[in-house]
Amino acid sequence: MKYSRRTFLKWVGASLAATSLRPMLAFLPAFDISLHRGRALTALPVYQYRGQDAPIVSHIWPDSAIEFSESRGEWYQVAGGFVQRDSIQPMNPDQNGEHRFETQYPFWAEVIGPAASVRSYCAANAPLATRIGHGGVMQVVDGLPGEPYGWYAVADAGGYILGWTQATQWQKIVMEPDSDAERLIIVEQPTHTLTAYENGKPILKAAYAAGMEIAGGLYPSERLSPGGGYWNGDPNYHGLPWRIRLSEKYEISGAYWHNRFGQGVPGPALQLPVAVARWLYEWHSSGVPVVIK
Amino acid sequence: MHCGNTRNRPVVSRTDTWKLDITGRVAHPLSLSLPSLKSFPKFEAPIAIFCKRNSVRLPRMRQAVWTGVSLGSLLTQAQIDSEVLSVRAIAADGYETVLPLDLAQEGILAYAVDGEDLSLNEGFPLRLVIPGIYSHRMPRWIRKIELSQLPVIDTSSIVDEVQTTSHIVAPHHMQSLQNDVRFSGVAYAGRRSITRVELSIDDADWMPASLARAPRGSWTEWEINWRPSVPGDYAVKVRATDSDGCTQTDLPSPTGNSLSSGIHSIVIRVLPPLEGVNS
Repeated sequence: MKYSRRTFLKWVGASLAATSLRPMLAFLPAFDISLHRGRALTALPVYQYRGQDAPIVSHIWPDSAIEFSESRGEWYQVAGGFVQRDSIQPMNPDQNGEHRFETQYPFWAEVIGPAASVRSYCAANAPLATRIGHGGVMQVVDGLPGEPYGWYAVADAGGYILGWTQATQWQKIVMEPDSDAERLIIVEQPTHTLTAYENGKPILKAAYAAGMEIAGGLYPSERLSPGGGYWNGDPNYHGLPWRIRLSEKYEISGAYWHNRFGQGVPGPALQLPVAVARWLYEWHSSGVPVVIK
Repeated sequence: MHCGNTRNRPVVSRTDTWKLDITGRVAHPLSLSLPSLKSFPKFEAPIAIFCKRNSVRLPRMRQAVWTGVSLGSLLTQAQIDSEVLSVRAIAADGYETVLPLDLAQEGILAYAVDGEDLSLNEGFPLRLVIPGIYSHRMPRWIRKIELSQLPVIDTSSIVDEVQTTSHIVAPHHMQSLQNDVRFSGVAYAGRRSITRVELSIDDADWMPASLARAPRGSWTEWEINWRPSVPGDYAVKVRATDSDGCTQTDLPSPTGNSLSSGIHSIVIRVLPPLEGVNS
């Protein structure tokens, strides 16, 4: 799937609102952030009013898609009450199209549902290999069509097959072509912000989650395969999306397992909301310099 | 659901000659016909019956309103000896079981279930029903109660052997569904209460279900609604936690041949939503 500009702005609007970071860019319109769709990262208590001492009126299923509105402080408003902001991952609101089973392999695909389970064989109750959250990216290397649903075999960037997953949860990625504009990325660690410049003008500013302190300096970045893995932590993450390598040690990537952008968290060095990471990945061409401050 | 004294075919088919004898260490032995038993104050209670040979795939369980006579009140009538520690219940097919006195006194000698006389398979004309223990301790076709001063060895195991268990009753395995899904089922922990029931869909985190209030000895009904986001096949599993804080696991039961532990799981198929519904 290719993102339209409108789709991207809508989703990034949700992501930026989620991080309480206002978009600073002239071209970003006053997009509608009154209603968004998100993934519940855990079994979420819904509070009657803002505050953890408020009565719990219901729970939201983990890994379910919910609509939320009104981002204020650490809270989102949902049907019936309020939930804590960092327990919701903003989702792309426009990924509700007809599912199409792809038959030409391999291809890269992203998780369009709240989460996709990867299992050892093609059955919903087969042993679980891993779960990949909304926006995670894997390589589809084989398929098994079926009625009413088919299955894909997914592999990491090295081609190692992780298991089988229901095709309805995935969508093929179609990339935007590169443009010739002059580009630069500046990362300001004290404020956890990343700014992308095109022809000297800022076109995107986003909060990132910092997995580690990065040595300051100029890095010649390189776009890696759309999906990969993060293996240095506990837990590890399959389907790490939209990876841009700065050095052997540092990468920019999407993160589908939290919504704590703008602060320090465990995991890869520079973690962005998956929509922002995708936009950056598509916009990036190998060799874009990255300044770490 | 039949479990317990199943070694022989039912042997009591007429009541004109049938009597229940209460003997042993009592001041007044009793020999009661069914009509005379029914003349005692009626006792009714909803009680769940679970078989120790349960399987998570094919649960052997039943909950019903049992009607009969309180065994405790009959024993009072018979004036049991103060040294009595155990009750031996003997069935017409030769099956027998021994229970500690205090547990047996909570039992019902049931002659009807859900408003109907017991069927032959249910234990006609009389069966013992005790809240919160496995059904093999509650003989059907009971004909004799014998009081003894001998203690029951390892009394606590009768109560403790009951595994905490939970089952999804609806929807059923491989059911196709659209739009919102309502899961419902039961959980049981014998004489312990159920404090939490949780479901997991597609191996995601556990989600707490709503519990109905349950009298002691009956199962706890639970339910929860779910709105699927994407069509597909989903594995759904359920687990319960009891008042001792024990949560069901996938591990096999440590108690002999019981299969009643384990996690019940089903697969449901979520179809694309109907046009114009829940858009």
